[in-house]
Amino acid sequence: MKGIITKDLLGLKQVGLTMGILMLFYLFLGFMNMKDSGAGLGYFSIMALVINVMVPLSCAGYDEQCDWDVFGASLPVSKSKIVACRYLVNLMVMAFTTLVVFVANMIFAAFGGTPTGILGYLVPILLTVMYVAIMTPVIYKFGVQKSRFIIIAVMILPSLLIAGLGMFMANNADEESSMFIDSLDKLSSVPVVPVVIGATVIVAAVYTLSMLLSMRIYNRKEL
Amino acid sequence: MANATEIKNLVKTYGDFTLSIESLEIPSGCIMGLVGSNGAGKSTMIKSILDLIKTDSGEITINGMSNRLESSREDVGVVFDEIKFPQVFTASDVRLVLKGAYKNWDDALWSKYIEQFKLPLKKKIKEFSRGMKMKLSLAAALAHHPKLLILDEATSGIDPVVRDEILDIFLDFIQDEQHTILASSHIISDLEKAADYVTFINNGRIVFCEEKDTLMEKYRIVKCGNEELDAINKADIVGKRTNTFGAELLMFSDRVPEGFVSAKAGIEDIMLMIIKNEG
Repeated sequence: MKGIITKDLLGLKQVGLTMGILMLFYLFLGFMNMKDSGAGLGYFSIMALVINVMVPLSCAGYDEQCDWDVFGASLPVSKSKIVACRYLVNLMVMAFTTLVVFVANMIFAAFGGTPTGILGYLVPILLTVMYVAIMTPVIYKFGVQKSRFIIIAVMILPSLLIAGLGMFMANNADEESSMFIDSLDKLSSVPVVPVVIGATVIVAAVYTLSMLLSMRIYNRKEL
Repeated sequence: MANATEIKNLVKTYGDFTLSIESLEIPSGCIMGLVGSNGAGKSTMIKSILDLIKTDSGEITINGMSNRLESSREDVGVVFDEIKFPQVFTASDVRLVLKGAYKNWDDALWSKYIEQFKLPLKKKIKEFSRGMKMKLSLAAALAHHPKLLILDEATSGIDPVVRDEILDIFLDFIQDEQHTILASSHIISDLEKAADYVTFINNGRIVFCEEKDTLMEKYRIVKCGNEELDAINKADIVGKRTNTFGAELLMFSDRVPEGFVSAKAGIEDIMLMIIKNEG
């Protein structure tokens, strides 16, 4: 398994370099804007999330380009383990980018900036894990090219829903919107810790199920 | 002599194509050449051996182990027609990956091949020539001390000098009687030089699997005119190639009629004439 993980990480080296430069740029911007606007490292953190989301696509893209799957399956590693390695690499990259964002925020705070709160780390990372969990079996099933369209659709759908909700509220300004704001108020009184733990458990379960589904797809695949 | 690979009752269907191999044994210590036209089933057979595809039925063993076991591939080295590593990788990257994949990976042996093939360690694969890519694939396939080396059209598109160099490596590898090579190739001359056995696949079925020397003795090419052709018993003709002056016939050596001039049949002649005869 070590070899398969090494292969994915080496493949990401190229993407990592480009992304690293972009992250440095946004980190620099964050520090420049610190005193003017009091803004945090928002863009920097978003870049980290973009990297996390790009990992499964980049790895699969490299594999497809050189027909790696055929060679990979001829190594003394089962197809299920090959899939498990991909999921592990996703987690490793997520852990790394979270650590980088955390350290950057610490430095940012030391220089007088407003650091991101714990929820500022957890919520995006849980959403990213969820997103990767949905995306990876789709990539295994349809390949990178076809998956791009499905993935774009998955990304656009929540935005459309939110926009739709906004339009609905604007058109029904009084009653419904006040009900909605009331329910949001109620939400703010819900204890955070149990919700975070619950969400983490759900996301972990979805990620595991996603891995099992990908294994099933990959095991049935004709290479 | 133990068998490096055994195939029994293998069936794999893709649409209207079926690969069907009742029985095939590849003895240890030999070079088995796999010949046949495009789409005959050579790659499907190799993919079945490596468990890359789901077969409809049948059993395959590698060095006595079921090919379904991942450990059965520990002693197998594979070279495909193209290098299957990302083009941004270097030879050093390839070493890192394979060192983590094989228990028997031998860094010293890898370095020996890299030196022998004069391959750069830090250059990206995309900058390699085809010959260099193939040498890198070969070094990668050999550096974990495999017992079975599988080559799927590995020498195609390579110039004769490099091919000859690679053939020498194969012959050197086969010096150990526990080592075996299964090589599918369109370049019949390479197989004629190196193979001990030849398996001919056509339309998904094995037409023959024989020792190369026996095979070459078994058939003869008979050249005759149209009148002489009529005098030959049709049942004795294995394959026929006609031209305006007469015909070239592939016949079993013991069936060549007296008075007819015959010549040694090459693997390519045998293959082509049988394919033509089978349609």
